[in-house]
Amino acid sequence: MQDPVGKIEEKGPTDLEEQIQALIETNHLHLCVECGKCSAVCPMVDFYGEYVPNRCTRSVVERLRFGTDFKEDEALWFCWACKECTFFCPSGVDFQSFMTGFRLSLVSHGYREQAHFCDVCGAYLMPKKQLECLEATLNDKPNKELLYECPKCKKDKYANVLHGLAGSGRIRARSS
Amino acid sequence: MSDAMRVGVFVCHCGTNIGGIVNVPHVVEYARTLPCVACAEGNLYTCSEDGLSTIANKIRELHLNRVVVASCTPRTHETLFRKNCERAGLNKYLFEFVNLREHCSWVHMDKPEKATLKAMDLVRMGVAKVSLLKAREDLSTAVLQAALILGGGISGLSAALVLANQGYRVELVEKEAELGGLLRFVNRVFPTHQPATELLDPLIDSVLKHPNIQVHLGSEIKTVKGFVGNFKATIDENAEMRDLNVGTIIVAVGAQVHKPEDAFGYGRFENVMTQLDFEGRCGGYDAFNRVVMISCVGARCEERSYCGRFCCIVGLKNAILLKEANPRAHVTILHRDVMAVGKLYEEYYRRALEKGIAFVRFDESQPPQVKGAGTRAEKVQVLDTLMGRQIELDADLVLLTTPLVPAADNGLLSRMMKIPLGMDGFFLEAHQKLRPVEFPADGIFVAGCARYPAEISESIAQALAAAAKAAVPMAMGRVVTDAFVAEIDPALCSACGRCVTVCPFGAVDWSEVGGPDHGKKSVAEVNPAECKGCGLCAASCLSGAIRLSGFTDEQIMAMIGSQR
Amino acid sequence: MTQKAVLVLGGGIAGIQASIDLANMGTRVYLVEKKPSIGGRMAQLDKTFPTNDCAMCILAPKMIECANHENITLLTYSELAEIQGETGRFKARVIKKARFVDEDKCVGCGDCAAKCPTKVVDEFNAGLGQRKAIYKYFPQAVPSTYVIDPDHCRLFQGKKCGVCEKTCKAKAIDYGQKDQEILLEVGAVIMATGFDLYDVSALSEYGWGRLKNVLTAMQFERMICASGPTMGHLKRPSDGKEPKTLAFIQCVGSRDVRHKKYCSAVCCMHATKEAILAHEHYPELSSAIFYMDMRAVGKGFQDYIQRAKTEYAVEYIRARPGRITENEENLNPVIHYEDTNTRELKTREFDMVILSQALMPSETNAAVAEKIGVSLDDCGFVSPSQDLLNPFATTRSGVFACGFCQSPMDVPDSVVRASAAASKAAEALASR
Repeated sequence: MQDPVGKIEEKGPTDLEEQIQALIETNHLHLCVECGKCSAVCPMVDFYGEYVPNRCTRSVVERLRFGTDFKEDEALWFCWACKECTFFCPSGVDFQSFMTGFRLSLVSHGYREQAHFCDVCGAYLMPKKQLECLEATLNDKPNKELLYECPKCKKDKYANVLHGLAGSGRIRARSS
Repeated sequence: MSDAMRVGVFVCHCGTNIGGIVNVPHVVEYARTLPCVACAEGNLYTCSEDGLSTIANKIRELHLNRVVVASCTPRTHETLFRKNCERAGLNKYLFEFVNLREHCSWVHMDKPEKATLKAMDLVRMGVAKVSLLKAREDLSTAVLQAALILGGGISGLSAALVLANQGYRVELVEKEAELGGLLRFVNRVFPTHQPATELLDPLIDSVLKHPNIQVHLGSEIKTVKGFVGNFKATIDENAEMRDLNVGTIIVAVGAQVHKPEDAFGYGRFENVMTQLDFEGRCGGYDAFNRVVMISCVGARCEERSYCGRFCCIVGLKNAILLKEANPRAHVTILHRDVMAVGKLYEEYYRRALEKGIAFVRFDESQPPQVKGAGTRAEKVQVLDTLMGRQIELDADLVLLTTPLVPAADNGLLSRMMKIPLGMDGFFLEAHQKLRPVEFPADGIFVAGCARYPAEISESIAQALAAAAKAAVPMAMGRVVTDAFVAEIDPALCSACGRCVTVCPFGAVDWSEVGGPDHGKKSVAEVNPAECKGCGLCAASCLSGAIRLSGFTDEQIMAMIGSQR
Repeated sequence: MTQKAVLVLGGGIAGIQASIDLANMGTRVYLVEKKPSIGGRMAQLDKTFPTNDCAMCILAPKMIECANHENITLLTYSELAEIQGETGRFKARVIKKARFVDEDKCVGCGDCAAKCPTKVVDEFNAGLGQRKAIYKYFPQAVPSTYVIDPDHCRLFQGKKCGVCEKTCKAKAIDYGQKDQEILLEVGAVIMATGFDLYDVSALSEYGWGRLKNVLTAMQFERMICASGPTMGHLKRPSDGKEPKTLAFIQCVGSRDVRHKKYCSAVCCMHATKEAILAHEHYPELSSAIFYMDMRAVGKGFQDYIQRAKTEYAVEYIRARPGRITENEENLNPVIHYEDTNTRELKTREFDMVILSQALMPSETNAAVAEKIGVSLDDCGFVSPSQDLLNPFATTRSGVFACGFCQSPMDVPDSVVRASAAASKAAEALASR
């Protein structure tokens, strides 16, 4: 359920608005016919315990197409990118990929207040709202540390541990 | 009467439709007790092959000379049972149909005992009447192998060509000075986006060159007389009256585009126009940056309840063309539903979405507002029901998507040829499901927008279908009509004219017969070839001069008079 | 030498109409139908919109006309094996499958089926109800001859039986009957192969096949039909009770890139019709129709929708439901949806849910098209003609297509196009 860590494309439009527009097109958001299936399958209501129309997929797609100040629009940061909507969309809108790209785009342009980052390397992990929910769910459980490091950093950490455990020469150290 | 009357009675269960309410075996037993009944049987489905062969076998075995079938409705099954009798060697007019379904089981579902008694009554009445029926022969009239086609648009042209190619003579009458109809004003056609002229010109060319087709331009139809096989139409061809003798007629007079009087700024703002107005302008699809289209203008409303069927697609077409000419343009379609029905149109809708054309849904109760200054519209405000908020769109072009409405002289043609109009003002076909291009009056057919808004492929389909129907009597060279027709006794006719007015098929007309003192008098006369045996004339006659064979006074009195 | 004869493939309403028109013009017609009876999908419907005519009542006379017309030869339970030639001179080979019942002797009395020990799921009744291994496709079948299903018949499966042969008073049973090869010479061909129903179990979110009280529209038609498996009574499959609330979900499998991308054309209207019929049967019953666009474009269709709203307790909700779950106590289906007009997320329980399933070209259409050399599009429909002026032409000259196999369409449109194809076929024959 975590957004994958990724890099912004080196090439392509540099202006934020153009980037978002390109994401809208690549992910076919303009094919939306507003049927509402995405909102109906979205698990957001279960996560947050309330339904707010502005947060749901269909409403977001609508607003993006007709113009919304996405830099300020807090409602764009509730989605968990779980992919249910993309899976079920009858028109072929890939909302999950859009959301992933959208957040990376905003974050890379300095809009960081809504986002939560890896403690180790600073890569984007998930929306703060998602973090709050997960924190409340995991509460005092030991796995809570999973929320603060990105998969790559965790892998490095465990690799080091394993390396240490391997002792002399039986496991070759990683070259990175 | 040398032969004894031998009546066969066949009572149908019709699955559970009749048998579930009426005690059919009881009715069958009762039928056996009736005078002149030689046999009585029950069938599960009399209309099935075995039901029919049971009747045929009984006719032969028992030398039945009258048959009563007590089942469903003659509307669907009378021809079937009559033909069956004929095949078995019994004159088909010696057959009587009793309706135990619509007249009994279906309307008395909660009273099975009483329904059974009523069924017995109905069967008894049927038996009483059938004995008074006389053998008759069908009427046969010759058919001229020529068709009159009213209207030279895509429908008329298609029908003309396909009939001419089969060797029939075609008279094509068009009131304008040129052929082509509405398509002359259309720029490009969906979904190929080829120019309309690319379709029309070769078609018009083929029609003009065809040796079997006589084209009458600038001609208006003035009168139509006659009946299937023998119509005489008089046309006014450029101030010259001309008679055309044909066997069949196809009405393909088209429709017109609705012009919304002062709605949404139409007529006030120069950049607000209908889709057709827009197509009529020369070029300049790339001259617009902010286009807003409004659907259902004058359709699906209080004034006009129907949907224009393909106007959504016209909107999509122009939207796609505008967007292709100027990819940076914002094109928004304000709609109440997107009627892209089927495969081709759904694909077309998706194509429009892929091009980035935006769709905004509004409700009939809160239509969009077009705002402007001076002679130009500048903005369109609309309550987007799906977003739940009011939006404002800049507009340098506002296109109104309007439906086709009936042509102005439909009423005139309707009265001239006694062909009905529906509540919507379009011509009304004989049966919506199974006879969509035919009129109740034989030999006259309808195709294209004269019947209801239809786009090119639909119009061509209807034109070809009407041509197929027209080809039937012409191919056979004859028409055979039912013998249960009305007959007027000229001696009793008081020439009041009620029957002439009341006949829906135009089958009653004036005729002159010898009057008193070697003079002449006008009386009404029924043309048996056109008469459908509906009985309206007989019911309207105050002089008792009209009798409808198959429903004579004696027969009806016998039905009423028979007592249980 | 032009053969003044036409081969019509498909005995649904389109094939029937084209056959009658051509036959009335004096042309010889061979009507080939793969099922044991003509009638097609229309025979499975209860009533037809917008007139609410009884489907069988308006279809049966046409079926009988086909059977009795001197110019029409009915070849039912038959399939096209091969065709060669060109316009005016086609040679076709048709295989008439063995019914194992003599058509000339069988009177359709049904004694055999009454005694047959084997029950089979009834395809005509959309899986509701059962038929026997020896059966008549439906009560008003044309021809009314019975047929033995060798895949289920005990005798053909190697077990002991022969009950039908013993029972048949007309001595019509013939276990040794063989398939027949029939050679035909025709001048033109009309494809009218119609449609099949999409298997909506592929939309697992709606639970058809899993949730008892979720049915397809065709199952509903069979249920509400007086000659159907429940004699026209609506019964919830889970407990046999009468439903008081119905929900219809539109576009199940249609307008969906995951299933069928096109619109099936008739579902908006048939769902409305079914809701109207249900209310007529049970005045206490109300329905909700979940739709995206209410595509009522034909003559009289808008008025039909209006009447449904004002007189038949039909509510139209603009939403494409996300999923259907089940109330564990009473097995009521529960629909989860967003009402797009009010922007509310809702769950609503109904007694029964009907899915307006997508309709697709019949599964044998591809094989037939290949034999004839007619190209199909990516959805299996006959490729649209490149010439807009000639909408019934196919990629093979002399072969015309009409009805649903071209594009989703309703009965009036199919009937018009069938007559139109007949016109084109007649023209083709006349021109040689």
